[in-house]
Amino acid sequence: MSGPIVLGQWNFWIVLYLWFVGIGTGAFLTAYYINKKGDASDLLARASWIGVAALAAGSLLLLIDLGRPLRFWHMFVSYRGSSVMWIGSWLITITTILMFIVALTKSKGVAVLAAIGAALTASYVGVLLTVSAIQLWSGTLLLPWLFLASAFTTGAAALSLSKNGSRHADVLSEVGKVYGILELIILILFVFWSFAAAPAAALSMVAGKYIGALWVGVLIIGIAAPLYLEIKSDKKISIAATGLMIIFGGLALRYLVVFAGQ
Amino acid sequence: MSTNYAIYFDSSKCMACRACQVTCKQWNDREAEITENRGSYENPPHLSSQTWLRITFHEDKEERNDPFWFFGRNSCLHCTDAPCVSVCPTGAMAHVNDNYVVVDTSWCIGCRYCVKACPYEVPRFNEKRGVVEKCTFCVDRVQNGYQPACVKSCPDSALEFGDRNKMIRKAEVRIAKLKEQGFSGAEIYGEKELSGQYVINILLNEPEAYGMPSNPKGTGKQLAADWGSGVVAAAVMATLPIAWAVNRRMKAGREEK
Ligand code: SF4
Ligand code: SF4
Ligand code: SF4
Repeated sequence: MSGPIVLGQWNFWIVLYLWFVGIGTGAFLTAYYINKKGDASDLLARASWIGVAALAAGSLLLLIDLGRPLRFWHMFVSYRGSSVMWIGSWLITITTILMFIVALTKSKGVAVLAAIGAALTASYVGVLLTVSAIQLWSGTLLLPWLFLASAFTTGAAALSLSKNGSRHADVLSEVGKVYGILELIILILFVFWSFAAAPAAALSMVAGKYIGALWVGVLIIGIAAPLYLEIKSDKKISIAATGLMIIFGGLALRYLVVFAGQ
Repeated sequence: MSTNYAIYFDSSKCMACRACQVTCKQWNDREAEITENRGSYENPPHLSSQTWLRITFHEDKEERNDPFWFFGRNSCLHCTDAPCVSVCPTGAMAHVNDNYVVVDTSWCIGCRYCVKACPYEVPRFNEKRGVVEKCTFCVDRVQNGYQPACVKSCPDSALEFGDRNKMIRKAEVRIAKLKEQGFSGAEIYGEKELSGQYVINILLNEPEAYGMPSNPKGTGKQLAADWGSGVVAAAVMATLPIAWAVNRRMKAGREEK
């Protein structure tokens, strides 16, 4: 007989949610900084729409995943400050609205607030998993860091694939490089730390069931190959390939963390 | 009437008849589950929305002349500092009378965060109903002056019910006796864990032998550390590297021109 079925698993909907949140917040933050240092209001407008779409789609996925989707409003009618999910639900709702206002009005002041909201939202998804009894998630304090790094790589990649991306290809590739290296460092720390905090799950990532997700999906396709392309070549053809690989790697990372943990 | 009752479980007296397990199902209207033989009398293999209490079977690692089995009670421990309550975004999982933890299934949205937060994997998802269910401490019985169904059914004195402080004192006496009899690893579980639980367990071995963590993480300090890391991560990761990357590129761009 197969092992015990643990009902109540967080499954692929959650993986997609984490992935979308990363892309949306990362794209917005990247464009926000590029616009701050130079003129890139076109990019910021594009990024705001990407952010609104990704966060709204992510929230919808989370809603579908509920056992009782129509009761989702129960989350918004009481104060539940101890619950990371409650704080996160407000955070993501407010951030989405702020991004929507930026997309429509291009207001600088609102953009600052939306950027703060985006940074906290990108981080909260890590805290959400950390506050649990799942060893791999709660064993280290690194998940918010890891998800933030991946938010920037996937967000910048999404921008580089977008309509206004080519005009800012150089700076987007620079962001991809810097955060790609950071992500690699944090990932290595995460795996080592997990060997102490959650040995079984760590082993399943490095040499067990999730060996493919870690080495091929996250490391080679998501980080190493794009970094190599970004550093070695300037060819424009590689932008699309690099971007797609990074975005796929972000999905593999969320899948790895969510599934190897449970 | 005092509401400070606790369930007392003595692993050294339990004979695994599982009357408690069956009575729990009867009182709480839980369905039977079809399972397969796994080569153990322990059955079902895990808790579920239909099985709120089950007896676990363990074999002693120490060398003895005879095979030695001991039994654990796998159910909600009704923690004071309950992670399941703390993480619930709707307040559906909550303390009743400040002590027992009950889920209001008419308010639960089925997010399963409590499932991920409980150190004992107690709350279980009912896919049909779309909500989480678990042991209620038989509040419907207790509030009317009856013992929980499991306690009532126990033919031995492995399960008892009474004032929590009395149960702790009783457990201390029992532990001393067990130690005299050579069970050097006997210990109380539930007196201090998670600021005190409303099930007082007498274990013959370390909690891990029963599949329970020795030091379940409480919510307070842990939550502060986790949020601390999250906020610092946001403040650092979303400012310094991106500003540096953008500046560097802009400068390079200007020099090229
Ligand atoms: S044992 Fe689990 S479900 Fe029961 S109160 Fe404690 S944390 Fe909640
Ligand atoms: S599944 Fe229900 S009881 Fe559990 S945390 Fe979500 S809303 Fe609360
Ligand atoms: S009814 Fe009593 S003796 Fe029988 S399994 Fe339950 S606790 Fe053990």
